[in-house]
This record gives sequence, C-alpha cells and structure tokens, in this order.
Amino acid sequence: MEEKSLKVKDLVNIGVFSAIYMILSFIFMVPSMASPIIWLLWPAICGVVCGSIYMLLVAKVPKKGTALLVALINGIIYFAIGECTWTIILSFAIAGIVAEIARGALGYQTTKSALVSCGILASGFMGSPLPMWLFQNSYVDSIIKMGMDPTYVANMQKMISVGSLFGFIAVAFVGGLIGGFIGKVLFKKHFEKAGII
Amino acid sequence: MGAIPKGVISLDPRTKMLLLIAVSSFIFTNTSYLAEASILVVLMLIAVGLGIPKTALKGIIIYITLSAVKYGLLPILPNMIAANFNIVAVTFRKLLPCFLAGEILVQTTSIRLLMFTLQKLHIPQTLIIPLTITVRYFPALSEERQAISNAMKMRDVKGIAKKLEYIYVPLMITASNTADELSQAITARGIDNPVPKTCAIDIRLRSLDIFMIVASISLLGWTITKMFL
Amino acid sequence: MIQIDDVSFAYKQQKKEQLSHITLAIQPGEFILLCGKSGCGKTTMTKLINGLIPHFAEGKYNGKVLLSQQDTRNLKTYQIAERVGSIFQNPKTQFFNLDTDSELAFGLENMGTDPVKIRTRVSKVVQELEIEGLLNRGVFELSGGEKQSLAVASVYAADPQIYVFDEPSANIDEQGIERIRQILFKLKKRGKTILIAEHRLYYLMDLLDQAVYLKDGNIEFVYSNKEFKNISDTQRRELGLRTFYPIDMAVWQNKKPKPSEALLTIANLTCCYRNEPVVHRATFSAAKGDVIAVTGTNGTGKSTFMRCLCGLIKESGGTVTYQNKTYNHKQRRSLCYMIMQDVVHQLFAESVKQEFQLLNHTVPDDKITEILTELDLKPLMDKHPMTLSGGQMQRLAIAVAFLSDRDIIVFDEPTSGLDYTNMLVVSRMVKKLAENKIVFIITHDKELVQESCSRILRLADGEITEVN
Repeated sequence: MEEKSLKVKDLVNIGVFSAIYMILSFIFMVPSMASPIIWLLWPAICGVVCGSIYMLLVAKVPKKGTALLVALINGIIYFAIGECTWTIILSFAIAGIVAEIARGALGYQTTKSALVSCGILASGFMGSPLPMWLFQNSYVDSIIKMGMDPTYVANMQKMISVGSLFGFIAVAFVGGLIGGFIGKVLFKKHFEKAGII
Repeated sequence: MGAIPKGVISLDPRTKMLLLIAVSSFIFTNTSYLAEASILVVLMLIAVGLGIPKTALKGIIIYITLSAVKYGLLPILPNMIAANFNIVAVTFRKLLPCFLAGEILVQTTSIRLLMFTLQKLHIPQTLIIPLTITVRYFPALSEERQAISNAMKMRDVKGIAKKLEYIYVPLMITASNTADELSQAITARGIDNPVPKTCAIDIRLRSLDIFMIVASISLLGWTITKMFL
Repeated sequence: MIQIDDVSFAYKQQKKEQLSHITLAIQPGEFILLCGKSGCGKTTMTKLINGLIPHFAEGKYNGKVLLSQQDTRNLKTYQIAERVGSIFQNPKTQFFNLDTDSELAFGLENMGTDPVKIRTRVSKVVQELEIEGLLNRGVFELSGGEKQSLAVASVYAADPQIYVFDEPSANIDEQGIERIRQILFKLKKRGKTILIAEHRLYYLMDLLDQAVYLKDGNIEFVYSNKEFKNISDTQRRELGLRTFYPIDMAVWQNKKPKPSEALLTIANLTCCYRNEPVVHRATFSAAKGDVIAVTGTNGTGKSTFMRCLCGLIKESGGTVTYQNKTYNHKQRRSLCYMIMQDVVHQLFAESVKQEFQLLNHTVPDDKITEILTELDLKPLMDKHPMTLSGGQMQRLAIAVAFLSDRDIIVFDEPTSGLDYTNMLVVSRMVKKLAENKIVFIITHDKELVQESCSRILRLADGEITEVN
C-alpha cells in the first residue's frame, strides 16, 4: 500500500536532506562572492555539489511536492539568514514549481524526471546573484565616479544583461544535471547495495 | 542557536519577519547613504536590545571594513581588480542591513515559536514540518562534519574523487538513518495530531511591535512608491 | 492495561520473523524489563506498544495489541501518543526542538492544550523531577545523561499512563544512569506502567516487577523480581545478560603495574577543545600489551585527549615519543588508529572484503579470511558494509584496525549498546590486539574494564591520574 501524499517520515526526510543541500551550497557561497564572475557561476557549482543529495532524496521520497519543498526551504532559509534578499525566495519558488511540472510530466519514479528536476532546482540559486542585475545602476555610477575605463563599464554591462541572465540559468541547469549524474554513479556503487533506496 | 538570549526588549516573530521583508525590499531602491546608515543604526539598536550585541558589533565592523576598502584600498589598486572588488564591496554593503535583520530573526526566535507563527499565518504543515527539521538538523551536521573529517584523517585517503566519495557516502547514510529515527520519535510525540497546535509562550503584539510594524509598512510603502514613480 | 495477543511481525524486506506469536498481559502500574541478546526482538516489542508497529514500520503484522481494550490498529498514532510515551536509545535524534523549554512543552502543544495549562504543567514537572538545571538551555550542549532526563521529562509533561524505554542507558555514563534511575523511581511511585528494553541491568534490579527474557523473537521466560534476582551468575552469563549488580573494582584481575620499560611516552601533553584546555600537562608511559581504560564523566575531555594522541587535534604543548622518536600530530596519524563510537563514518568500501584493500599496505587474503571468520563476519564478505547491523559494523572496524599497520589502537566507547556476548567478543579482540599493540579504551563500562583492561587512567578537572 503506497500512499501518494507526503507522510511525517517523508517530511522529515525532506527536512534533513534539505539541510545538507543548503549547507553544501552555503560552503561554496562565501568564497564565490569574492568575485562577481564566480558568484554568477555559483548556482552551477551548487548544482554539481548538491545534485547527488537531491537525487537520493527523490529516490527515497518519489512523491509529488518533494522538489517544491526542497526549493522553498532553501529559498526561505537563505532569505531568513539575510545572505540573500527576497529574490532568492522568488527564484526558488519558480524553480520548484517548474521542477514539479517536469516531474509530473516525466513520472515521479523515473531517473529522467529526477535528473531534469535536479537541474531545474539548481537554477533556483540564481536568486543570489540576481541583485547584481538589480543593483546595476549603482555599480555603473560608482565605477564611472572612480574614473574607470568606459570600455570596462561597457563590458560589465554586457556581462549583466537580460541575455546573460538566461545564459547563466542554463549553465546552472547543466551544473545540476552533472550533479545528478554524479549521484547516479554513487547510487550504483553504494546506496543500492546498502539498501538505502 | 539553542538557548534564546534574553534581551531588554522582545519582539513578536511576525514583527521580525515583516522587518526583514521591508529591509530586503528597501535596499534595492535606496540610493541615499544617509538612509542606509540610519536603517543600519536602527537595526543595531534592535539587535542590542534583543540581547545579541555581538551581532551588532560584527555588523559595525563589516560596514567599516567595506567602507575602508572602498575609499582606502580601491583607489590604489589597478583598475580591473578594483572594478571587481568594487562590485563585491557595493553588494556586501547593500546586503548588510538584510543580513542584520536576518540575524535578528534567526537568533532571537526559538524554532517552535517560528513554527507556531507560521501556522498562525496559515502556512501549511507540509511546509512547516520539513522547514523546522532543516533548521534543527544544522547543529547535528556540524557534529557530523567533525566525525567525517576525523575518519578521513585516520584513513589517509588519497585523491580528490575518493575523498569526496568518502565524505558524501557516510554523510548521506547517516542523514538517512537520522531521518528514520527522528521521524519515529516525533511520531511518538504526536506530531500528526490534527488539532490546532498551541504555544506555551505568550505571543501577542505589544506597543513596540505595533510601532515597528507601522515603521516597516511605511518603509515598504515608500519603497514601492519609489519603484513605480 | 496492555494486552499483546499472539503477535507476529516481520520487517519489510526480511523473511525472518522478528517476533513470533508473542502473548503478554501487563497490569497497570507494572514495571516490565525486556531483556535478551542483541536482535532478540526487544526493540521491536517496544514498537508494538507505542504504535510504531503497525503505523510506522512497514512489514507483516499478525495478531493484535490492545491498549485499555482498544486495538492499536484502530487508533491513530497521535491517539496512542497521548497514552504511551516513548524514550529512545539515541538521545541525538529524539528531540524536535533545539532548546529545552520548547521540548518540554512540545507534546502538550501538539495536543492543543491551553497555553496557561501547559505552563503550569511544565513548571510542575520541572519541580517533581528536579530538573531545574535543564531549563533554558540548548539541547546540543547537554550531556548524554541530561539529554535522556530531558527526554523522560518531556514525555512526562504530556502525562501518559504508559512509558516505553528503548535502551535509555546506551549512550550515557554512570552519573547519567543514576539520574535516569531516580526518575524511574518517581514514575513508578506515581503508578505509571513502564516497559524498558535494556542491556544494562544493574540499575533496574530494584525497580522491576517482571523480567521478560526474549530469544529469537519468542518469549522464553517471564521472571518475577525475586526469581530474576535468584538467577546465578553462571546462568546469567549463559543467558547472555549483563551484570545484575554494580561492578566492584576491588576484584580486578587483569591489573598490571606500570611498565618498567616504556615504548610510548607522553610528556606534559596539553590538549584543547574549542581553545579551552581540557587536559593539562598529561604525563604517562605505556608498553606493548597494555590495555588502558580512559575513564571520567561525560564531557571531561576523554575524547579530546585521545583525539590529540591520535593526531586528529594538534597538541597545545608537550610531546609524544614512541620508540625513542618524537612524533608530531600529523605523524601520529599513521601511528595510531581510532575506532570511533559511530563506526558508520569509518567504513567506506563497497564490500566488507574491499574494506581491507583501503589499508595502505596489502594484506594477504588468508589473513582477511581468518579474522573475518573469527569475528563471525565471513558469510558477509561480499555485502555492503552499511547493510550490516551495528554490532557487525563495529566488529568489521575492529578487524580493519587489527590488520592495519598501526601500533596504537584507540576505542571510543566500544560497548555502549552491546549485550554481554558481544561485549565479550570486543574484550577478546582487545586482548588479541594488545599482543603486539598498545590499546586505549575510552569507556564508562566497568564490566568491560574489569574484563579486559590492565590499567586505568582517570581524567578529572584536566588532570590525568592512574588508578591503582
């Protein structure tokens, strides 16, 4: 008798694995903030690092809502500790909903759906560097005030454009996919034999 | 985390949440140094009042360092590097009020109070339970990190891939076991009782809360007007 | 009060029945001890009563359990929770909150009790159980004994009639056990019905009304208090039960004097935990064949001391010399090996056999087979280490240490949750290791100390003293 709704056990699993998901991403957050370019790649790094955690979780809880809850919890905690702004709740909420739609369409039990949703989830981290787009005017102002080379200013504006936003989201997605594949390798090697899933 | 500090004032969790939202919206539209500094001062006073003066001090130090970097260090650095650090310095400084408001919420509110408040705000249990578990699992994770690093040192593991494998696998296996044990324990404590949960701590809005809420809402209102005008 | 009627249970994915045809009636106010060897079904039996079977653990369930005439199958988990309070083995994973005050109120809040009533009840509980010292603290800063006291108190706050304990003493020191014992007396005096599954028995001898001895999922004997106390020492050992009485260290046969010729010399070693020195200028020496118990209450820095010896922490002063060569902390890592309390972290390979290939020297196959046979692990050679039971995992870690090239082996609480038989296995292996190594054991378990240790070091207030 497999119930489809989330039970206490499922919720606790989601909670515990979300904690690991968040901490692993957080470890890479502070150093990557040292440079804007690495910061922009941070979501992709998180995807690689956290992918396997998510993969194990969806294998344990292959039910509707798992991806959305992981996304919301990460968004809310990143928001609450004040390292990111409300943009991260927004980006994670969108990523979570899109991931759930993908899982619904591809089937909750399939590897394909786990991998795709894993990639989508990673793009939720884009809410962290998103303020760069929103703060752009401030940056430009202060750089011009500093008497910086106009070509550099132009370059920076190119780096932070609408097109590049989608580019970085795509990179994050790929990062998540890679992380998911790493998870698959670990599964074969350990977790299936260990009877965890 | 753990024991909740006792301060000279206390605020309702709802007030702190609203404050965080207002501050984190405000920083996007604000361009005035004076406004930024005054918000910071207010937040630090609140932090001190709530019994977390160390956090307030940390905020001051970061702010001074960032300002020093911007006005002292950047002008003497080569342009390319300066531009890089400029973005970092500007972003961090702008995010600082947000960080403080976050610390105020997290450090001075117990998990169950947060849980109860979220419930009052009609957030479903399906989100509240895992969210609470996440926060609760953080300190356990630091113990976990210690154990894993000891085990690694003892075994003299070579190669980055092997190292990572030996971090991930035990981490996930113990997480999985903890999840099982913890869910048994809280099931046996009656977590899935459908009656509305209560909270032994008296939560109600006091005059200070009302004042802060009014202030936060005006800040939000001002931000929104500025965004559209 | 509780009627267990012909119950059988097999966990999902396991063919073997964990419990078969159990029938037992428990009267209100009785104190029942569930005992027997590891894997006999004690823990499973506690789950029958607190409703985790059939509501939580998946598996094949037959028969019925009645709580005041109501079948647990027809009750919801929260309804059972109002009648039966549970205290689990691992204090780390049984709290929902991070601060003690919240935990005390948690059960009542789940029931939706009126806040004013909760506050009155909690302060009454604190007074009755004398746990004022636990108030307003972080759960993670409590010692093992304090954690278990908090667990009982939080359950007691919700005032159920029945209490179910699953090895509450497994992770705590003697003082902690004494605290739990006092609380158990109070519960009993208030007429509560108590079931306790336990390996350590000495602290329960004056409390129990009946002792139920389980073997392979069957109730083998039911003893009254008097009958149980009359079991002879030899019989007790045959039953695989731990000591009935506190160990008297006056009868300590393995005692050996300080070695005249030292192989390992520790001089003025100072170790810090979170920048606070917990061990001051420790000085002592040891020779091959020494099995040294490291004792002291929870939180005195025994683990820190041993971690420092193993080179996992850098010393803040002093030296460690082995065979006339001084080792710094990094060098010590290849001299010492520690078997951690939670061995899960130390097993990495994909199979039991491959675990030995991770050693930094090759071990001949016949040696591996020999040690695995000795430790009863040979049939499991191709299994993944994580599929083993706790006891098996620990034996595997011991086997790895045995075949490693390290000269100093440290055990961290090796017998905390073990039954008598497994404790003897550990003790035998310890002696075997000591044939050509120096062994340290951090432990609270006096039975193990008496059985296997040749020297005892006591750590108190940062000072190391040798017990004679």
